[in-house]
Amino acid sequence: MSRVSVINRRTLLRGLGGSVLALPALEIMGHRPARAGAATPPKRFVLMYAGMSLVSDGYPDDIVPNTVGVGYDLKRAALALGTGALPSNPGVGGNGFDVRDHVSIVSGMTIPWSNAEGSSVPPGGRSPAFHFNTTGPQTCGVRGNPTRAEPANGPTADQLVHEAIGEGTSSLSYRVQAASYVGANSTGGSAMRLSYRRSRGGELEAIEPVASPQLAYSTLFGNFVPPDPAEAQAFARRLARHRSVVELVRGNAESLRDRLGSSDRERFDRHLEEVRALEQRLDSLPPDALASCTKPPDPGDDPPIQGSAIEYQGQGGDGVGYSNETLRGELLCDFVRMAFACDLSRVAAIRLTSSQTHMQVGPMLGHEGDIHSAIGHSARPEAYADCVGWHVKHFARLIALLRDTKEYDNSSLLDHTAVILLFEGGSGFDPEGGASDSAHSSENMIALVGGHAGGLNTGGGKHIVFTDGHPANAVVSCMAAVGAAPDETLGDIHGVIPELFG
Amino acid sequence: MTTQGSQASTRIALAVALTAAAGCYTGLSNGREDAANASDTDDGVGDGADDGAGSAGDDPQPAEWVPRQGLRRLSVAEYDQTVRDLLGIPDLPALELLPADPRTPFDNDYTEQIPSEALVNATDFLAEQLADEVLADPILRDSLIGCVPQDPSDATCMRDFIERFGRRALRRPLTETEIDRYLNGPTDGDGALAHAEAEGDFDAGVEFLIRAMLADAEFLYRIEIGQPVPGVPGLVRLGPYEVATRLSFLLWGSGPDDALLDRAAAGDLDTPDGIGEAATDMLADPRAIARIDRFHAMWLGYESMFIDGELAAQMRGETMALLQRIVFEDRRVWHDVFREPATFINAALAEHYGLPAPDGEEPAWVDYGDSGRQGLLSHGAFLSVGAQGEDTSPVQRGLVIRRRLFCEEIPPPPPTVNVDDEPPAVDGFCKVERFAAHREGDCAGCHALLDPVGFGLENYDPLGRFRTHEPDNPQTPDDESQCEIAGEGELAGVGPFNGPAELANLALGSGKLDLCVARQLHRLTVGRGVLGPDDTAIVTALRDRLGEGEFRFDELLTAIVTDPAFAYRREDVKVVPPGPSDPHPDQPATAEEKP
Repeated sequence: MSRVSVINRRTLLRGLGGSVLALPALEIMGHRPARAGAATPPKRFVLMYAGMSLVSDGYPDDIVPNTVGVGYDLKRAALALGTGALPSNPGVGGNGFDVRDHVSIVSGMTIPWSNAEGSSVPPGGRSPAFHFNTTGPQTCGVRGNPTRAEPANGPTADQLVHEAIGEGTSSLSYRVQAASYVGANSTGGSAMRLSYRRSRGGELEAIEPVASPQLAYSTLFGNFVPPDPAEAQAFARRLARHRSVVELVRGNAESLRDRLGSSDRERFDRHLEEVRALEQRLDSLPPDALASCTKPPDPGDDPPIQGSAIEYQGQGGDGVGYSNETLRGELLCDFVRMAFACDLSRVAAIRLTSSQTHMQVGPMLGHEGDIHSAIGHSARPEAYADCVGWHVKHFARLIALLRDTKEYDNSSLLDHTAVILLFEGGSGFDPEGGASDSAHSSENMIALVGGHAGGLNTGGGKHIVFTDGHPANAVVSCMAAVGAAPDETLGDIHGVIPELFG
Repeated sequence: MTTQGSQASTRIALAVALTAAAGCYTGLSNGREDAANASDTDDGVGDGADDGAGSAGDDPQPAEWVPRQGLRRLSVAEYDQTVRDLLGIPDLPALELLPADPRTPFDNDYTEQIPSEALVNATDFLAEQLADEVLADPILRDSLIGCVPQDPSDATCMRDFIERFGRRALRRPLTETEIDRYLNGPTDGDGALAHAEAEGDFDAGVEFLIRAMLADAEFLYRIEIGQPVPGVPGLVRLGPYEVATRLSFLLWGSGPDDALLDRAAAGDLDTPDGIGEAATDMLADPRAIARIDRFHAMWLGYESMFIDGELAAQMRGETMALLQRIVFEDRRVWHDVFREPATFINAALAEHYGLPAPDGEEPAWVDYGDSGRQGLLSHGAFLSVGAQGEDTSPVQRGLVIRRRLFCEEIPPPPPTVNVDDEPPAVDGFCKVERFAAHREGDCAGCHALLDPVGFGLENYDPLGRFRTHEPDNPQTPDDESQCEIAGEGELAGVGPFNGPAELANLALGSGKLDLCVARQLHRLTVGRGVLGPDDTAIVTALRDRLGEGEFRFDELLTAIVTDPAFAYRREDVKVVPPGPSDPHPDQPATAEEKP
């Protein structure tokens, strides 16, 4: 990590008090982000997750291509992987850009299970209970937890990659679905989480995802210096004040910690750790003026969260329950792209929808109701395919954004990135209910793997049938592609998918 | 037993306890042993977990009469109310920036709270926005600062603000050292005065102070340190400001105001009587009404309704009006919440329910008459809880009654049951026929407790409207799509019923509600969803002191806060990790509480 000497902020403050301070003073207050001066651009990793299966009960999927290999056919849910400009992003893609060239679809995978009474969930497997139990096996490679308490039982791929290649940058954990659904679990709770890591004490820690684009923006780009000199001066004073605030808060917290009982102290330590992280972030410098690194436009206030309500027999009003997740998803992907370009982060986890998602899709897709119940389990296969396609569109858009963003060596961000999209379920037999052709199946799972890090998709994206493979094999492949899986293992799952490389 | 009597009893108990703590304990004889040995069948929201707390067995430790508590962060709702009260800002920035609170069923469960980067960044960001907002409004600003600065670095005015605002924000008086740190910075030169001077603006210093205090751990968390009780590890006697904080968050869902802090300073909260007097005054505050309304809403699951908009607002208003009438205006026994023969509705809601409209446009009390409705269980807000898809779920409604209202433990479905799907049609398409599958085999044991409860409410749709037929099922033949609803239900072991009025009467007669409401209020008080045998003993003793079916809700609250144990804290030594820790998770599945 490149570091420069740090000036005492009180010295700076005194300077600011009496006279105009030259802008470079900002640049000696902290350290730069990690990359400056590196010979080759760093690798990046994105884990995306869709909290839905591929099919509506009793209907075939509308995404797995019929053809295998390059130039695969695009079904209704996969149209965003084609050549058309992505509809809500006229500046992205287009000009014949075929997302397929950069994305492989791996199909035919299975998360194993055990039906035998009293027997264990197999390694990397799910319990028969479906919802919330297929996430962990994919994201951390560890068998699912039938208590449904948390989606993962081990550190997730994004956090393992961050440990391996983060080099002092931030790992990003976002969720797009803003509200959950009715009832006791209306906050979403653990169904909204995706990332887990090991604490210093060895315990598994959930990472609360950020759902607010406004907060994500402020956290990532809050210390970019405005170009206007007068604004820069005002900004410098405000930043100095912010640093003083956090220094005081941190100092108070450290004093308080010593007075707490041992159990409270254990709970408090992580808070203190995060305050220290905030202080470090404020002390870090704005990034170098790299090729594509610019401060994105301020997104302004977040789209209002419409709560957990749904449209019901004409009650509830227009768009109720919809929190403009389309815009939220686009903004968060925009920030991931720029965080990568500025080397503020190298790893992102994006939960597009909660497990068993009840997200309302009417205003964005023209289909009334929520994904899970009103569409998924209600014999509406075309509407369901559009819901799958909504997730694919965000994935494709991120691929296009990364492709269109230049590195300082004139390569594209996508050349150094692995992006994977996973789904909560596949299609086929459901050990929970014993039904075939079920949405609650972990047979025929797919993963979309995009980018070219480590030789991914260099021969173009393909449809790969990886029969009896595990979706975590696709995750391991992406981890290996960014140099974060030296033993090609994630939890209980071992091995890459060779066809993804080349 | 009267409140006064119960206070005396518990005071004696704690005195015995603390004497025992000093080394001469010979055993409790205040009647709590039976309660301590009472079986515990309910662990919160049905996760089936045992929190591992020690049993209050043959030789109960005195400290067990003090509930275990851990470090608790303000919930989003508490943060909201506290900031409103502190700054006077009517429209807060989007609190959705804060991570949402899981419900167990309440939103303040410290075992579920995860200190996270998202939380720290959000509270830091919100502090800045709040400071900006209050300083941009001249009236709010002047009111908050409370003095007129003579120049940008007026140390006297700044110091005065630190003292006053700091006491409210951190819920205790600041020490001289702390005041100096805020004024001049931790090591001199970057405190409020320096920032005011750098900007040539007194408000820059105020902004610094507001942000620093709103992001301070003592604002975000309810810190309880107290004084250790000699000889009893983990037991502390809270200080008066800590008692004030407990009191205000329980009764108002907010931090203490100046008047309550003044009571603490004067020593008025050092005794149960003093706490009781403060509580009586606090219960007259509108925030107490809102708090009690929200308690019921979280408990019974209608806090987050599946519809939104005007109709939902009217329904929530209906329920709040009922609680306000019973608890605050008429000061009647709490059971009347479930047997009130009238409801507070406007013409639109009356039409929705099929009830007579009140005179005029404004809501008014309307008698239910012989409609089959009475009390809270007839409200649209409550009846919306068991919705699933486009219709009601008898299973979910049964679960709400059993788990939430009765605090019974209902085992989760086995992992081989797809809870998304209703039973398949075998012998017929109507709901009773379809659910007949639940009455066979292994399913029957639990569903016999659930389904008949839901079927007794089937004449009321998910919006609380009376209906005589099931909605059309598009998958059924036309001639079988209109299924008449009998509405006959049964509370197993108690009796049959038809409709919410009869259910309410059965529930009141079952004797389950008193213990359950005390249990749920205990959860809210201690901020913990999973209760152990030690909690059961405390709750049972509380219920016994109040007398079955005879207490008012405010008496229940007062009994809790005037118990000597309220001023003590027993550290919850068991750390419940926020994440999974068992890599071989073959334990039974948890039922999903969902619509």
